[in-house]
Amino acid sequence: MMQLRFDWRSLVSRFRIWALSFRGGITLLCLVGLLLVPLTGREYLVTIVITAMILTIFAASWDFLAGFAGQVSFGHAAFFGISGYLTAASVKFFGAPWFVAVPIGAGTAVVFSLLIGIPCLRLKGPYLALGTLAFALILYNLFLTGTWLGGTEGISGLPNIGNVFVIFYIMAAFMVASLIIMRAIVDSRLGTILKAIRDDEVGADASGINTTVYKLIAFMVSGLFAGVSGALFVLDNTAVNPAVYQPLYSFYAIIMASIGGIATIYGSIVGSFLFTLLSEFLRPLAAASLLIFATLLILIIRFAEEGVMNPFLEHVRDLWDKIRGK
Amino acid sequence: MLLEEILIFGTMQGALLALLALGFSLVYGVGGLLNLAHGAFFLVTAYIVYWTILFLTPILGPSNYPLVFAIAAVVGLSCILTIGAVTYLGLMKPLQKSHIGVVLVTFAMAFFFEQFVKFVGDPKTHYIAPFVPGTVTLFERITFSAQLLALIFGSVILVTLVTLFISKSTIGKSIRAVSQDLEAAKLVGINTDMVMMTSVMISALLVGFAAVLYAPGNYIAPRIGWGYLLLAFSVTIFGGMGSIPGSILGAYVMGYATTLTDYLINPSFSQIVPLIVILVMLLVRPQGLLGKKGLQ
Amino acid sequence: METKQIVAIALIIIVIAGVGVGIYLFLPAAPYGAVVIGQLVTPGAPAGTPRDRIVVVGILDPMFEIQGEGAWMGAYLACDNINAAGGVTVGGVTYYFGLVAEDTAEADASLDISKGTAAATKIVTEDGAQFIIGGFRTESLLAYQDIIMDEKMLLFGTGASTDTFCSNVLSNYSTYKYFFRMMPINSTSLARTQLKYIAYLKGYLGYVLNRTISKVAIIREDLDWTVGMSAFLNGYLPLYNLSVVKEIPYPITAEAANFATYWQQIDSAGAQITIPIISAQGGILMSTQYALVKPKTIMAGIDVMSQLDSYWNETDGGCQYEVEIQSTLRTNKTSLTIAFWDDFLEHYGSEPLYTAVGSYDSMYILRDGINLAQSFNSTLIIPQLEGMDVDSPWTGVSGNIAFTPSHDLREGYIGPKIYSVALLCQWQAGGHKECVSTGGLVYPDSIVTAALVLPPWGINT
Repeated sequence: MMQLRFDWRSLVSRFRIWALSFRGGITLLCLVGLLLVPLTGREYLVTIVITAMILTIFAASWDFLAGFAGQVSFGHAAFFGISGYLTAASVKFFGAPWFVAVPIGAGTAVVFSLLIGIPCLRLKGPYLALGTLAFALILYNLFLTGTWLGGTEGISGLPNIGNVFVIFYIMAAFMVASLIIMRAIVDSRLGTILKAIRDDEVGADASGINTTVYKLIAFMVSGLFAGVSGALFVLDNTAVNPAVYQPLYSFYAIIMASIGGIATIYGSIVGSFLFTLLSEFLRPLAAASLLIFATLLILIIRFAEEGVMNPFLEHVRDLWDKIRGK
Repeated sequence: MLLEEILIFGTMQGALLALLALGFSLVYGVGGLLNLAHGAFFLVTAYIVYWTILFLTPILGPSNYPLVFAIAAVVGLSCILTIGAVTYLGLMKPLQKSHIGVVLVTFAMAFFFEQFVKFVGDPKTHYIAPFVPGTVTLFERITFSAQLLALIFGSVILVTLVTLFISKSTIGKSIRAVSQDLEAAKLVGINTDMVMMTSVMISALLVGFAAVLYAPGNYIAPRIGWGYLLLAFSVTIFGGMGSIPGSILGAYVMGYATTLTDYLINPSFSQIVPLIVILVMLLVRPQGLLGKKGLQ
Repeated sequence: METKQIVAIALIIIVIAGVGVGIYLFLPAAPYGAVVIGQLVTPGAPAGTPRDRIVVVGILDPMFEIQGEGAWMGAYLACDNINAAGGVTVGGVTYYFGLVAEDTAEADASLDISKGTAAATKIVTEDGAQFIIGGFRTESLLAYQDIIMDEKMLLFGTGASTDTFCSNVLSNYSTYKYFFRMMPINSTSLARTQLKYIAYLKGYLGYVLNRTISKVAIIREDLDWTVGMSAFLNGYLPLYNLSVVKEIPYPITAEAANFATYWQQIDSAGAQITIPIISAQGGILMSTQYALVKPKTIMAGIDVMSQLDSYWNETDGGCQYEVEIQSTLRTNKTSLTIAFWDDFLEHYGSEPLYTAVGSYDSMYILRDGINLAQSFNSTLIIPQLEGMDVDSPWTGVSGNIAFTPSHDLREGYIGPKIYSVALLCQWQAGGHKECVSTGGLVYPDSIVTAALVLPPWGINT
């Protein structure tokens, strides 16, 4: 399916070309900037950047499913939440270390992605969106009214992974790895097939592609990364409760991905950092902050249909070219 | 014994759901627009009515409450009509081509309105006094607020009017034409933008009436919009996206079903009923009870 | 495309600038004790007090909801009074108190716990808070309390009633010893108070109406905290020859028509006493529909919204005859209570919510703790607070505060000395809320302000 060739020399030279290109340069610059954040020593800043990084993975996982496979989910919080719960439970009740708990949580999310994906296969557009939303809401209600796994209070008092700066680098590693893997998948043959299904499902079917299998694979990959982010989110907050299944988190993913730009994967970084940092920095404006935020959201969606990342980069590039006199 | 109670309270639920779902379904059927701000329209109308009452009561005196309420209702309904038209022209129309765009922008709108009433007013829960005072007793033991009778009658009248309007009037005919085939409607010279704007405005008016009839005697709080949106959503899915008779039928079936669970099983289970209905319906018959087959 | 984006950017800038200017113009006119976020305020402190002479107390709550607003108002008034009275003197140097608040958004129906943890991190690392008052929603506080405990900082709980926080103190003392409950009494005591009052009511109604009182109904929102309370009541009520004839757990999304049906069901089950267990907006509907349907039963229980003085108007007087549990009323719980109540009313024009009473007491107990320990180190203040026990309680406005080994509040009363007790208050004609008798089961009759009034449409036989 995917051909992974370990030709180091060509990889290194490709990396060099990429790093010297405009996009590569910007990406590396941002990455270095990100890794320098803890050096400011401001714990609060580090904390919110951690949240932004975790939500980046979540938004990217939604973008993978919606942007590339064309399956718009409104219930992504289901994967996020179930993974968070399983992670918290295995840490709290079975004493599992965090690096064991994350795969357990993410694995459960993959199983759930199949459970939700299979019945939703025949649904399209708003129907699929609603079907997934209903699944997440049912989970929410089940965990809210049930008494298992802590009832409405959920599970709390999980041990910290380490101090906030250690957590920062762990999360950064997870984010970079997740994004690179997702980007690699969409650039591979699998990605091409998914895009073909997104653009013309009947056509893809006619040309001999087993659309069912590929759509399920998309669901699983997306569920896996949503699960990873859910697990990390819970470990970072040291607590989980039924609220993780709310539509709120699903909408977080949708909004972040579309602010950055759908079908880009990397746009999620821009979207979630903008979203998280902005809503934190608007804090002192008190009650007005969310109103301003909502207004900005409407304006961004209305006037930047492709998200803000690509158009912005284009402009910067034009400027850069002008400066270099090209 | 039990049957009468389920009949009465189920009819109330159904009347409310019909008002909520009819417009929602209409807008989807005509333009394929999924309006997530539908619940927020309810919210805004209810708050405008509430604020107008607060403003007018000291001027006209508490004894003139029906007059105060009537003015407030007119103000609320005209505001929501304007908001509906502006929403269509400013936000939905430019983003029409991408369905996800409309969904996102109306979601942001709903969020905006929630924050707006929080900011202008406060986040607290408020109460609007019913404009029909007193209670009604039926079958000698079932007592309920007379306001709820107004809801039932109002809903039946409005739903009939809108159905007649769509099936008989010229604009109604173009609405149906557009919902059947947008391109063909354009070709025969129907102003599709006008038609879509009308249907968004009808939808806003219906949900505004739901607020005027149902919010009095009920609580209002900034977050209530989402609940009404979900109700409209589930009824529409149940009855069939874009099908008007479907959403009316769906509303009453759903109304009786929730009341039945209220009485026979457990009230806290009845909030899961709409969700389970959505899921089962989606999996068994995605186009809904009376929905169109080819709809995506 | 190009022009569109320019227009968008221009619009964004205009909106931000507009709102910014609006807020700036709005600020100077703010009334006494208006909530300020992320900014140190020092009411009552002499002008020009240097920053290192300010003891910073952080308020972590949903700042735009009644609970957070209440906590801020109480703390602000206390801060003003303490500073005006000369602050606190440690090592011969006078220090004044300052307040800073962060919004945890924990009362939102859709809870995002990361907002709470971010607020807690900000208040301790950026705003420089040295002590914390607050906490409202259990799930949220469970997540962010660890941040405060890691900083080894005193946390005065003023909103969450779950027992968990205090049992943590016992099970893991070295980590959680910084938590002290100031308000409200824990859920176990609350359930016990409820039970005692129903037992009293059975006897009282039986005597007044000359009939046997044996049928009770429970109406509660279907959330975890009410499940435990209901199980407790279901277990103990039969021991008092009371049977639960109807129990209605309703979804928190229930509406007016639903409540009409609930009252029908309760009335036809013949319930004589109805116990509400409600914290959310359902209370308004319960009260208004009660007034409409007029079921022959008397309401006595927990309805958080009815603690607000605005409840009478919000329910259009529908709450008349409702008996509800609340922490404080204008009555002599201690010698300080009435003076505090009037002071609060004078400054704010409204009655204090329980979080306001709790934060007011927290500020004063903190001042006294600092004074006794002669230190700002939380770890050194703890023994002083722990010394405030049954034998030597600390006198606050909400009662005589005596901490148990789990840093919980000692409940009940001994002679005239009232510890932390909840009051049974009834809404009576004209919108007056009065403290009614419990026959001495919960608190002494000396603080009762009026006799119980029964609904004129009668009680089921």
